[in-house]
Amino acid sequence: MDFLGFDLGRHGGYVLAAYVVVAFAVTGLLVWIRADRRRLEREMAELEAAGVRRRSQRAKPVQTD
Amino acid sequence: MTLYDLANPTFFLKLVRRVLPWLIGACVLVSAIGLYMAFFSAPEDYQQGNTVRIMFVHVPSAWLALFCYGMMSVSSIGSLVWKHPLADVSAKAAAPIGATFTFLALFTGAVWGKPMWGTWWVWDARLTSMLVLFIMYLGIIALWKTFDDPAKAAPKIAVLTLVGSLNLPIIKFSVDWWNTLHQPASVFRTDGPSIATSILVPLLVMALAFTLLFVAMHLSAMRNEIFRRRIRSMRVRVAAKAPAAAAGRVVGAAGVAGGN
Repeated sequence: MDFLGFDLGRHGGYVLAAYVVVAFAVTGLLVWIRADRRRLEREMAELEAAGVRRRSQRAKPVQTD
Repeated sequence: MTLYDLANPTFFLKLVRRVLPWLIGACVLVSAIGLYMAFFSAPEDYQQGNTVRIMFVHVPSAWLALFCYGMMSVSSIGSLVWKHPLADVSAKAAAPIGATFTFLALFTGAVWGKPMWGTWWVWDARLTSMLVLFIMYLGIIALWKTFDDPAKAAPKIAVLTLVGSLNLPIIKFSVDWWNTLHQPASVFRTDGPSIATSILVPLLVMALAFTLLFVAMHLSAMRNEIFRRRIRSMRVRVAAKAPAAAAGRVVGAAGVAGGN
């Protein structure tokens, strides 16, 4: 079996299938992680825009001596 | 920098922001070198022919499937013993990545097995224990989804993960303990690797590429999980304030009604 000018031999289909599935799975995982991050960042931005703050983001009380 | 410094999610996020571009760059570079070596530098095996090239993705996938679960087990100890705030974040974020690599190890093993063994699958100890690992990953992912509160889920899933880690030595030594169709270890052996250098070097380069990929994806997934927990705590704060505000409105309304 010939692929991009490279002779993969008589079991080329198996070799190609292995690499294609690895490429698909890794790309899928990367796309999922990236999409998840974008969704979470958007959600956090919406909450912050609505005035919701995390506990650690609360304004510190003013010190009065 | 100590493990305790990393306990601060804000510090961890800063670190990820700095390290991730370098990791991605290194991963792309090493992957390109590894793929070049796998297809153009490594020779055909005298018995396997070109199917030996499947090993360059199969073996790193299998190593990472085990490494990822081992790391989840260490994270589970960190979560149970030291209550490290990022330990269960790490364990949760690693599970889908580990499941993917386990699936890839099983799939690439099957497509190598068909031309070499004459079958896609046999129920031998190595293959079966890897399938058990895959099912455990899926179970852990499903279990995380059944809990609303990650703080409540973490200790239970950590215990389950540690119980599941008993499968790791079974996978590793299955080829020694039982008579399996899967060949015994050929890289990590007491008397040194039994693979020719021309095939071993591309294999190790691909393993490094896969490891860099795993670390980059794991750090990214951990960052997502920290964001998810921040969003959850923000929503909980809103929900906690809402009944108080509603009660205030009811009292206010009653006061107005009483005044009339």
